[in-house]
Amino acid sequence: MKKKSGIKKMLTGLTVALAILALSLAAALSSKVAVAGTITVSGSSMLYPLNSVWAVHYEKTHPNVTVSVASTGSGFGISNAANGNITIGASDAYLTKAFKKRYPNLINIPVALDDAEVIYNLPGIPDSVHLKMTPKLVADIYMGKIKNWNNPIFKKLNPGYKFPNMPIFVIHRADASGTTFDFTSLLTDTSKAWADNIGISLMPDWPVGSGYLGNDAVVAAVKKIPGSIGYAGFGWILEYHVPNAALLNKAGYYVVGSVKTIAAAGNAALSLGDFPADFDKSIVWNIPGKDSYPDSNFEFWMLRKKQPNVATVKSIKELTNWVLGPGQSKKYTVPTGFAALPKAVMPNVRKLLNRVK
Amino acid sequence: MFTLKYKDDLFRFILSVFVLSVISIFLIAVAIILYYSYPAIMKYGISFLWVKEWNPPKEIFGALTFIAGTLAVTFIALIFAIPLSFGIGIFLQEYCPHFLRGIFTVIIEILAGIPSVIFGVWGVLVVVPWLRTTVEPFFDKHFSYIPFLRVSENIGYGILAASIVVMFMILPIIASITKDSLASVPKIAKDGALAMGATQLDVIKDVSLPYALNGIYGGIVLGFGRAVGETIAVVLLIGNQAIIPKSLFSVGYTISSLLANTFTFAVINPIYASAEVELALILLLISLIVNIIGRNILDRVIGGKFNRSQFGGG
Repeated sequence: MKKKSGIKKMLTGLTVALAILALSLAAALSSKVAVAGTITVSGSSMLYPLNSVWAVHYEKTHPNVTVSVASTGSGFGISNAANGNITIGASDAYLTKAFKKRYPNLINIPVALDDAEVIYNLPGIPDSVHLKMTPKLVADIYMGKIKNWNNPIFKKLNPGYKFPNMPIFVIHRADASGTTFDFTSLLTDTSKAWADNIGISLMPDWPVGSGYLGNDAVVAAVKKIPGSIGYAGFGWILEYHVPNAALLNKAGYYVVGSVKTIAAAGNAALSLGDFPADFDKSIVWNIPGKDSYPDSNFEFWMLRKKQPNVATVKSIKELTNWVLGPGQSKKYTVPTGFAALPKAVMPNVRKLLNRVK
Repeated sequence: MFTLKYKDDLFRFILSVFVLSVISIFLIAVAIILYYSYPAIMKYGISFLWVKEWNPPKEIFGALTFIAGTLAVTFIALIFAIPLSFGIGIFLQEYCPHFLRGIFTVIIEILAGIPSVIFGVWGVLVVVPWLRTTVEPFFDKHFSYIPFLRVSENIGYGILAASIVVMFMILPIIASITKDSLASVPKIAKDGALAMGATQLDVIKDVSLPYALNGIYGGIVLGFGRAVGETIAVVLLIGNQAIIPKSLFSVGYTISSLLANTFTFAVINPIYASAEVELALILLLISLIVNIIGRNILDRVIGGKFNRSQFGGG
């Protein structure tokens, strides 16, 4: 008798477990229908803080919409926007020719501006000083051609400072990164050797150095290792106060990245008139203006041109228009380390947005 | 009677379904890895194993750099771990006062269960600064003429940092199996040697160790299996640079850390993803083979005793 009741108990337990399983499966299946009011934005870790701020404020004024934001990397954002797993993919990189070929159903909408800046840890140089560097010098360092801080070129660019006999430790990203994409765009535009051997990439085949996962890890490594050099987006420098270089721009001025100089670069690039209508270009070397920071970059949302239904199109357009309008306010962009889009691009961006149907 | 029998059969059936589901999950996982690595296997063939270049934009993929990094970390960790675990195992079984043995054994078992990210954090906070400020400058000063001890980059991160931390993760495995193997030596053999005037050291050296050696091999093989796939602690420490390490202090890259860093991006290009899945397949094969060999040795040598101590069964 005892044995029987034991089995009975187990069977009852099993039945309950199976029932719960079946119910949760059903719930998971039906949730596909229930999430019509949810917009998922996933991708770039760089853009994540701004996306989050936008989501919070958008939900306040649009109580029937849920914007769920995740930081999964630009590569994930692009590929999952293309296959429809997420509504909007966030990416620091525009759709290159190769991407467009692979994902012909995507368009990229610029939503903000940021940059990649050279950071360093060099004992003997006060933190308040921005060492002057040329993009070509940075390329030579990242190719292992210049290996020591006592190289006369540093002294020549920065007279008045004492450079120690100290090896340069190159710090780069280990993951696929939009910051890297922007950084290698500048090096490609200014160093033929870099262009020939390495080129523009989210994750190049680094000739020297060591790699770290994420902007924050790069900043931390540079802060910890004397003699190191790295690169990170403006927001991270703003937050962690790591010394950053003044980079030579095309007009011959050494410029430090800031909201002002990034926006100046954006405006200057657009004023040239030949900026591509679908924004598939970095804002790096070839832009005029003495205030233009030579390593700026648009941040993008990746959208599918063909959406499953009218309701989705409407909710995507509403959110994107909000981001391009009120979302550009300084109170959202500046604290998270971004510059607002130049007013001049707006007509073009809205034209792009109309291709979402 | 009929209903009771019927319930019994039903219950047995349900249990079998559960067990089968575990097996099928394993088989499905293997099948998926095979399926996704198939394009890369076809495209790059066997040369995938010895090509050095790993260049996603150009779709050139070779595994050598990552296999080299993986094996370097694994072997260096083993070289550190083996003597230490021997010492621990011999002490616990032969010299340790009885009332302390239980406590030490529990501590070692707890060590084996600590999540690896904790070891990684400890590595970044303690091992890396120690290597950077103390060990690397010392070797740079005194041993820079020995190629594999040359300090190419004095940053603390690299093969050595990863190996030291992985050593602590495999230490408990090898130590506890060493202890169990020694415990399986028949008392009569040891007593016989003692009766003939052998010292305790003689007994360990000439009776216990030779008898236990096969079991200890098994422990080393299992330690290898754990070290070869360790991911998170290595990713934090190895420097993530795709070069074949030439020195103990060099940075490097392992299969598991490459996948952890880049797989979410690799899915963007099917052949790129396929190449990374093929790396995972290589890792899976290595650890499967190693685990099967290790468990076989242990089953043969310590048999039921091993199973009891490792799985807590009866």
